[in-house]
Amino acid sequence: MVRILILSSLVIGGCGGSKFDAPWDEANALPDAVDGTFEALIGDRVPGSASGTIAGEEVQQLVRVAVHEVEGTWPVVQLELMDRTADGWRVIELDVSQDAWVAGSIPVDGTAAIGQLRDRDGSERFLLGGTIELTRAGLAPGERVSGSFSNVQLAEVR
Amino acid sequence: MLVLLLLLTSSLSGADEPPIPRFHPDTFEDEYISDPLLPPPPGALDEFTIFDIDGVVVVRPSAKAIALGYDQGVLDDTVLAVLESREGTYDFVAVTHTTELPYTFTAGAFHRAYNNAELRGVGRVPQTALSVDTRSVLWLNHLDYWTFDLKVRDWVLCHELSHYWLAFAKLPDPEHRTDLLGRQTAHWSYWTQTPNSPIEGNAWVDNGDGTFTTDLEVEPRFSTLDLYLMGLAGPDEVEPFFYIDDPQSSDRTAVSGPEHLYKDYYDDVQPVTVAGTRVDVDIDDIIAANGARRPVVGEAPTSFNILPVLVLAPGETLEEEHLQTFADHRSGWAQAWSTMTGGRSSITFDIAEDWGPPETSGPALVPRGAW
Repeated sequence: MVRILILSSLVIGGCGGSKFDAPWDEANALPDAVDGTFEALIGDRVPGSASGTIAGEEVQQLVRVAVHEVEGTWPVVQLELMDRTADGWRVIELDVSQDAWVAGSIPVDGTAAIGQLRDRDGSERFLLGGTIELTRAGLAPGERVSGSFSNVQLAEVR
Repeated sequence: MLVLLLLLTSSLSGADEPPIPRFHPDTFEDEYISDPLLPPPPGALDEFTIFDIDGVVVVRPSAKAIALGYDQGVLDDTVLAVLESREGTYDFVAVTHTTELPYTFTAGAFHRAYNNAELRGVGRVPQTALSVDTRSVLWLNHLDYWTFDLKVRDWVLCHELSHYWLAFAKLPDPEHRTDLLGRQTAHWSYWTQTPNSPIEGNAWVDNGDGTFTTDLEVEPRFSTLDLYLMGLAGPDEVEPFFYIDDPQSSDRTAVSGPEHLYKDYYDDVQPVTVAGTRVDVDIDDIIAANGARRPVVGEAPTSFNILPVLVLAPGETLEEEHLQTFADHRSGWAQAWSTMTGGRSSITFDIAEDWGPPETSGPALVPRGAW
């Protein structure tokens, strides 16, 4: 799992700066992109609604938003858009630094935000590039989150 | 009130000729609007978001999927989408909406049959829809539609579910073959004696002088003939009954709604008395005209599992209140079905598997700004 690799490398390398390489730094950009809109309540057990496109294919999705203290120190807002298909779930995840989580434009540049597409067959690709337009930036449980993202490029995990 | 008016108003009109449906199901809807010039609905399986929560399948169609309204094609697609890749099997699917959508249906609720080929002796033509792995879908409007009157809510569920078996039984006399039947030849006639059955007819009392009067106080339940046709009673249990031939009435017809439905809503509802000719019917007549019921009681199923489906509006977020209201409805429906069948049958609304979204324990990635 990419999650395990990344978190392990960060723990080993320490935190507090951006001098360390991130796995997506070497990722190969792919021609396809994702975009969509979303609306949900922070931490709600009932998923919110989202829709958009994955590589040009229209999808209707569920969305779940949670705030995590990663390893007890790094606050990250996790936005998951989940698409149920006959073959399984397909998940777009956008992880945003809590510092960047304010209404307005958030670049998916690896610093303010980074993303991952987990496909039905278990394959994973990075989501890097484009922007998130956040219209409601809830943080506490039950607060509303809404917005959109566009032209977020797929990148190959190496 | 709206439900009652729709039920009763629509019961006064005949059914339009339906368009050719995608799976060729029978739809026992009172009437509906269709325009053959319209293109087929754009419904496609990937136009639905589906997840399970609290034992309910929640479906959110895209705006595109219902661009021409929530019609029978979209309903079929909803059923296909919720059954697709689901491992459990379900006798029926019950579709209820959280809110009123632009339906193309005008009935308050209806039954749409897909597969009934195992039935014999009930008077209906067997049919099969290989692509749909369930007997029928019950379309049960939206949640608040039923909250104003729980008796009507429960009566309607029993009515729609019983359409799988009822009411199609004919009589042997070619000149009176459908005399027992009323609206759409899929409900008992207003003139057929029933214990205020959920599938209609009236609790007629023979006054012995050539007149008959409706008994509004008989608590609605399925007749012994209904139970026989549903595989819940043997032929020896079917009580003789009658229907009124040549009724002398200026304002009631074979397709009129059952009288007992009115009494809770209007203070001045009185029993109806009508002159006519009594025609007795017994189980031998039913078997002579329709053949023996198969599978027989004891072999026919008595418990049925219904997949509960709650349809959101496009973009709508499910609320806890929706789930609670739907849970209340399902509980009431299950109790009503047991009561109406005299405890001979039960329904459940259990999901065999969970299609909840995948769980994660934390973010997959940590952006540099959070390091």
